[in-house]
Amino acid sequence: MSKQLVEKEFTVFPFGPQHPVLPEPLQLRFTVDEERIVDVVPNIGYVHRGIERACELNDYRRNIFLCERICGICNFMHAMTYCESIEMITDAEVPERARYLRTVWAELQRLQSHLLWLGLFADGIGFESLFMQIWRDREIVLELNERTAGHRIHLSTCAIGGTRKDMDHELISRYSSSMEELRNRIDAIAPVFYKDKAVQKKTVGKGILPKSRAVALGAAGPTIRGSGIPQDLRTLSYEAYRELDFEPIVHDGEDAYSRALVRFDEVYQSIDLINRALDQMPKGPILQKNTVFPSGVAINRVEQPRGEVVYYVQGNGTIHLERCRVRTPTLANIPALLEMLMGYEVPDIPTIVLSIDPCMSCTERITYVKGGK
Amino acid sequence: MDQQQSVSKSNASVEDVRVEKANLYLKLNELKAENARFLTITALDIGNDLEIIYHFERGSHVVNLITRSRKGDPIPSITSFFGAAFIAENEVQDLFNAKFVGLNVNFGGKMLKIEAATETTLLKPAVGEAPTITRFFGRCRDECPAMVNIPKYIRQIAAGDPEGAYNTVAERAPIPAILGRVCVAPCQQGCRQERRENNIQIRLLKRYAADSMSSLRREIERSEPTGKRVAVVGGGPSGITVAYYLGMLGHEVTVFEKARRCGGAMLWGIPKYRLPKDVLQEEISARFDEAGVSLETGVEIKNLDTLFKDGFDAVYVSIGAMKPNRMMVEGEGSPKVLDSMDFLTSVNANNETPDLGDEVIVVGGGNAAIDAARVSKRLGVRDVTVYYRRTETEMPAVLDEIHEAMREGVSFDFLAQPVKIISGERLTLSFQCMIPGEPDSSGRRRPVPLEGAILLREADTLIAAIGNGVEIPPGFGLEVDRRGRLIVDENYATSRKGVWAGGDNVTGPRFVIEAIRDGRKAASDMDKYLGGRGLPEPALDMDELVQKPTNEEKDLDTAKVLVRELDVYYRIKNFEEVELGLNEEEALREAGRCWRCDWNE
Amino acid sequence: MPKMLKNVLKNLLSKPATVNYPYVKPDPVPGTRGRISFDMARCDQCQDCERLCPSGAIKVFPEEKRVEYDPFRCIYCHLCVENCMQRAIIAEEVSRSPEYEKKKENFED
Repeated sequence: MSKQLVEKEFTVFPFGPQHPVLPEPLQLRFTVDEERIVDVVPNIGYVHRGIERACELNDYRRNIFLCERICGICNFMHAMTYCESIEMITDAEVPERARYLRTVWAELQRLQSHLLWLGLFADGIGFESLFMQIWRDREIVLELNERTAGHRIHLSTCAIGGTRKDMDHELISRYSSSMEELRNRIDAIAPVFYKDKAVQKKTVGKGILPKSRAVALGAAGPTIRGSGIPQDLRTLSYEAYRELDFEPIVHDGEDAYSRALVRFDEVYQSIDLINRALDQMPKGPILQKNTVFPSGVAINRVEQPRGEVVYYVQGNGTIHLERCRVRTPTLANIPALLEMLMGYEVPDIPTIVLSIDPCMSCTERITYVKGGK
Repeated sequence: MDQQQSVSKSNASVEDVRVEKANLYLKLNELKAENARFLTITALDIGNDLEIIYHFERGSHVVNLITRSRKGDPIPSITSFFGAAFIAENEVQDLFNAKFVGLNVNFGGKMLKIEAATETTLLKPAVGEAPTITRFFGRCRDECPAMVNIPKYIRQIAAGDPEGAYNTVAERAPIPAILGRVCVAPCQQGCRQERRENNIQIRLLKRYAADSMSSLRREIERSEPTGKRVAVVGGGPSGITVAYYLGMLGHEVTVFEKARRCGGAMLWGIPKYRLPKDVLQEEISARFDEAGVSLETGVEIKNLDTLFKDGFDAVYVSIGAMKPNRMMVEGEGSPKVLDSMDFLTSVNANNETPDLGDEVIVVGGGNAAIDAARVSKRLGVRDVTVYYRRTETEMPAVLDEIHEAMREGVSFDFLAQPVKIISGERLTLSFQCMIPGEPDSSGRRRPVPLEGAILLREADTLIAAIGNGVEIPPGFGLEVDRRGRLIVDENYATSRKGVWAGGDNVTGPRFVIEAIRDGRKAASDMDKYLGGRGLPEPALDMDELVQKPTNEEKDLDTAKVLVRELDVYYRIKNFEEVELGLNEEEALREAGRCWRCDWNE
Repeated sequence: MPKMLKNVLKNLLSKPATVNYPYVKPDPVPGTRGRISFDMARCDQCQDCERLCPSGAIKVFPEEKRVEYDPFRCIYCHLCVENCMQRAIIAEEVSRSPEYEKKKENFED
């Protein structure tokens, strides 16, 4: 990454931390040779909140709310992963209905996250009216969230051993009709992504991540699925995915366009998964209360919208946890990003940076890079 | 602090591989050849070392490489194999003050800390603002004088374990079957549901637990014999408590009781329709058997020196309050004027049935007066009236008892005090009417005579139930206060070395549960005197995880279970037990209503 | 081109997707977790809400029979509402309105 710069005078300029296309603060210090990128140094973590330390000081049941607030967009899955880790450590049995409910809500979050990203991506290309339209359609999902749990973004319905809230018949039928409406609206937008020449010209061939390097760089999520590698943790059959047939979506383009297509297809896939899960949901209890303090180690991996999140949770038999380590997907995608950016031109930077779906609040560290030239 | 790493669990299969720091590169070569994917690095602080776990993904399984490195030693970097690991290694470097050697991109310890930032580190001990975690005993337990672990035994009953509940009660109060019938239950007043008059009927649950035992004699082990001998003078509730606890701790206890049977005020004072005497006998015998206590009845101790000469190492005095107060009224020496203590003893303990005539007047306002009134009713008296010198709301008797007496046909009259008794074929009584005056030291209004207002009444028998005083034989050599009660310190030790005292003869006539509290505290102190460690104090259990219900659960708003009782017209003809207790279904329902106030957050 | 026209016309002629807040307030969705208040006549100072609160927004003073609630620390999870056994915490469906300064609220009997 850092090369010896001996021959010419290069310009160094910072991209971020505040930038119109970035949803969260990230700084990339670019060294450019006229318009071509020569070197890039990241500076991540403007949102350090000390969450790992706070997890150790808190009661392990309050931590659900703390972990939920690591990220606003993928919040339910953080809470779900944490609850699953504690359930693994204490060997708890989660009721069937609770697993289906969690799956439905996780897919709803994925839907909402991908729609948000599609809007931002459109905005990053310069297609602002598409951005507005997609966010208007995203409101359907947010209103569903509010009806289910009371909040538009943070569901807070996951509990250790199941869920806190249930869905009655009226709500389920509302879900089905909302999914129908959403599908119609996405169908109206689909031709833009699949066929529009302007969109393709801005994104095809940009930010190539070769298949051979993707695994070595440790990338995750749609970033790696856009390079032809079918890695999707939902095939591990946690929660209710075992009963819903699931195949990962893969595109071979290796560029920003194929990553966008992966996410777009996942929108359709999520709608299908939600419909199927609602049809198959069994009746029964939704909570099996946890009865012992956790003592032991669990490593849990769940597919978030941006990739895989790794939770390492260690309990020591008291009310406080010993260690709770969170590795979020964006952190894994950053080395891939740094390699993807090399050799492209400055106007391509927003497209490429957005194509990995940077969610910096997940990284929650402070970094201040000095030197590294 | 050495962490014993248990096997990791995961939703895919997990493999833990422990390596030495020196062999790390060999393992990494293998993983790289298998095309493993780097996930992340977790570091743990375990005392003098750092435990570093490298997580990899091979296929769809997780492989953990676990190494240890002493703090301060440099750690070889893995970026030569897995270039993308530099972010995780820099994190560990900053958060744990470690040093990595050979990093491809090294932020030099400044990746996480800016110049002016304070220490952000994950080293132990955890420094930061931890939320306070408080646990309470629960308001019911706070009200109990003996600190019985009420929330725990309610939970045990709700879980279907009445025997465990019985044992929980017996840890602090050795006579659950008796208390389940007679305890005045201040805990029920403390229950948070009392506000809606829907309190948990804790006393009935205790009775259910005791009645569910197939035998009150439990299979329980005593401690090793210590060789010390303890004498208990007086076999009332407080004496029984001391005998049981000291016996279980291994001492050799002998109880000396003046009457023919043990029980004290529970025997002579509490009528049979509240406490059947066979239950009383069975439970006391069971406790004495378990604790290896020997009992000598019909023995009155007049001098403590003889006990010490006989080889006893410590003595506990609990002879109760057995000196009836005099009404100080002209004519009270008449044979038709009975004292409630003698009257109740003859009926309750000796099973006599004196003939009281057709009309009986009871003077007094405490539980003894109510007991005397209800017993008189059962002996066939047509009219029973209770006269009390203050008002109804100031009566010290338990409200439930007063109401039951009213239902059974006992009349009450207030603000009247007897001033003259004329004997003859029947008794003629003059009562002075009173009006409430200024409050006295107890806070209740002192009755003031209303000039010229005299009530004349006729009755066949007058029962005086105005309380008992304490009389200590001078041969004991113990200090008494001006009311004749024994003076003790906070551990119930008297002025004489080796002698403790508790119960009514220290506090005046009080409730059974308070005597039990005195006994247990004194027993703890006596054990320490005899070389032991005393009994454990009530402690908050921080290890038990209690499930608390939310207010949306439907069973919680149900009304309390009404206990079945004998019909009023039937019960006044005999001395059968009035309350019929709870059956299993009712007890489970009642115990399920508990809000678990000793909640573990 | 024709497809785009259809979309353009639809967007032009339908009503706006947003509501003219704050002049027009949207109807609250049933079940929204809104602001809370304390009914001190029912509260018996058991401190369950204080121990449950994930962010520590509630402080109970049992001797003074007073509850101090910080609406800016609150995360509106409504755990306290669900777990108060005397039903002393009242939840509304309206969100807290913005304020000029961060003040704590006091509830007294």
